Amino acid sequence: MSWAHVGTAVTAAFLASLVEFVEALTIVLAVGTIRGWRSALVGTAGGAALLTLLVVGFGPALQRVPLSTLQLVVGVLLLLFGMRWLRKAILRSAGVVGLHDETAIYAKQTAQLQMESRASWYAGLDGVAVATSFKAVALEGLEVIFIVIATGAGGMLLAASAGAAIAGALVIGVGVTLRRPLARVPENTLKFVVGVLLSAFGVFWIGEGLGFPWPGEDLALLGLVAGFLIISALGVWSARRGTVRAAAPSSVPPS
Amino acid sequence: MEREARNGTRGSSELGAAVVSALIRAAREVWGLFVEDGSFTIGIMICVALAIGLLPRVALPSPWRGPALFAALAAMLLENVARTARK
Repeated sequence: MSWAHVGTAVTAAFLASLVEFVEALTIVLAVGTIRGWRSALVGTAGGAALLTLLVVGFGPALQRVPLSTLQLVVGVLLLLFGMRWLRKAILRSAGVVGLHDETAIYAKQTAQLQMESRASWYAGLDGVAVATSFKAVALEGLEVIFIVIATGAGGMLLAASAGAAIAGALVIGVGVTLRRPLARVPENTLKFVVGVLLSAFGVFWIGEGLGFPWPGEDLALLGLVAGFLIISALGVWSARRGTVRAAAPSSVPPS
Repeated sequence: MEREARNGTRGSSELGAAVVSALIRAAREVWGLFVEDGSFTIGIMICVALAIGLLPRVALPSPWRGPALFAALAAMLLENVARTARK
């Protein structure tokens, strides 16, 4: 285990979790502001409880899976997850897909919540509010758990957990202080960086799981990160060119 | 009494339908974490399948197997974003 590996695991878990926590916070803030904090916090606590159950239930089982199988499965999932983010980030940077905007998402979510009927569900709680914040916390939290398992798969679960915990504390602290969505977090840039890191981890774990010897061993991870960065820059350039060509009028004169 | 029983059956079937629909929605959301563009996902899986089945059999020096997987994935990513941008 090298410092390059530990540092990459902490950074990847921190950045990826930061994005997920910001997304969950945006929805919980919208629910709390429009439908009341009690229901929003009950939904949040429910989501957190479900995630705790999943970690306690499945965490020990993961340790029984042979390391090479775990690396291969996690690598494949990480590759699917990371390259999906990377593809979207490239298309966003090239202007093919609209940018992710927390303020717009917050406005859309609040408008939607204002339209929903306010039927009391149980003990004065608002069912729509509880369900919305529960779903946001459970789903985004599931992604955080997956990211921590994936980036810490080579015996660095503690380092990856620390990265995610710092991100969680940071987002919750700033969110509670500001009580508005964290629109200044450069989420698109973060998703770009995280997509690169997760894709690099995915390829690295698949190689490790299949027993491919990497040139430079753990340092190959940094090489993969650099490789994905170069490919992404090429992807943005090529997508921009493709968009311009598709938008340009045909040079063939009408007959 | 018969009406009560009928209402009870309707109530439990509505609850069952709501639970099933919530489970389907949850499964779709989890699926969406990994799959967005079907052809892109299939491409990634083909690259991984080739790495598992083909790379150990070809006469490629072992240290180049990992970089070969990276190259295949990088080429697929570039092709996909260029194709999506042209649409």
